[in-house]
Amino acid sequence: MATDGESGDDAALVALIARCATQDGQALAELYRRASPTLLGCLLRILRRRALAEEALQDVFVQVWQRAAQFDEYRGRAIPWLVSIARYRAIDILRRERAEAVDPQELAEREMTSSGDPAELELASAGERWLDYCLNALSDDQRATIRLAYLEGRTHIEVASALDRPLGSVKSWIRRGLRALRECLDSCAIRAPS
Amino acid sequence: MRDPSPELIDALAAEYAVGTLRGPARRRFERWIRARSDVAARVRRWEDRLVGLLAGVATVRPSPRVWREIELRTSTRVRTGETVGARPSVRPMRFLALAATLAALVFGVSLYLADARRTWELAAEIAAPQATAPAWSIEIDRRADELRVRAMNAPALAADREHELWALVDGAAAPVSLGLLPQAGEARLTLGPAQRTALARASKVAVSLEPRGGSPTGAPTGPVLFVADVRPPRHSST
Repeated sequence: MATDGESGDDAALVALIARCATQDGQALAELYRRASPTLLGCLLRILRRRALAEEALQDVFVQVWQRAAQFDEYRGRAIPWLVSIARYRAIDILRRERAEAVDPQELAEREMTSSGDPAELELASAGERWLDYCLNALSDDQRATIRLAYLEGRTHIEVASALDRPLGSVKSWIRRGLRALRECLDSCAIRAPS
Repeated sequence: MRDPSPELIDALAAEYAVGTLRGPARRRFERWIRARSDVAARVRRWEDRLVGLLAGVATVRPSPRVWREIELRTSTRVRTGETVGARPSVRPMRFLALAATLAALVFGVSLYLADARRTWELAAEIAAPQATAPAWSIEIDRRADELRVRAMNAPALAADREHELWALVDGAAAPVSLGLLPQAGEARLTLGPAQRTALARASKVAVSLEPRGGSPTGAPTGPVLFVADVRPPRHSST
């Protein structure tokens, strides 16, 4: 599998999505082959149960197939588009299922199922390389709460109970953390050599 | 309602993208995203910014049955043996197969027969999976020679494209065009004899993406975006 540099992954995925818009089933198959391990990893973090995550993965690719024609009006980059479809689908499923408490056994199972070999997609474009830097510039509380909410699809209340911190503080860490993150990323993007 | 400040819109977009905006607020915000391109653009920026958070997440190879299900649900498998030639670019059987499988996915399709005293009866609501509001409502005149179509939450559309409505007649080889759907507001679609017959015998309608002015071939050429159940109007004797 070619992971050719910076946005090679993304450019290839964009081309595949364009072919999906013309009802090219082989393009969907190739898109699936490349992107499904990353998307399933993301879905498992949120949904925790493999069966549920795989069901969501099906929904994601059916949606990709149906919405491929809208992609080019939507944005240039494929990975955030795919990841967003997956994450929002997972959040919707959580809404439906009512999130359950974390079961340590399921967590262990998840770690086991996560030890697969598939190559990761090149997630971040050059502009987002600063994300680590900017995340590190946040306070520990801000960083931890944003990561929990994003990666595990947790609500404010769930983040508060997971960290055993007051709800009001959690809300404000996330809100201020996001604002600080944006300011940092925007200023880095301006300074970044192109 | 006064427009919130750009700062507040951006904060909401951020919480939407992170996922902490939930419940009714999330659904309201989704409607806003669909209605306002500037709001959608802010959400996209946040999705871009945050995607790198996934960098440490382990990738997991799905079990083989996942792809088999996707093939079934998108009918992509029937493509492989197909011939491309003088025929119109749509494959009616594939279209019907696709429509049939998609029909199972369309959540929120609701239909009911309206009160018999009404001139217009709701025949179908066309909604995307996960949608909080239907994209279009289709009402039918009891004499069944006109449709009234209301765009409620029509998806965004490029300037050179249009949404076309089709009747999927059970057992028939090809869908029958019922006309073009409005992006906003209301439209009346007058049905000719063939369309009337088709609709009377159709159990489903579909919406495809077509070039401006509608399908040049008389059959769907673009992807099928929606499928919804439809029922003929109740007999006036009831």
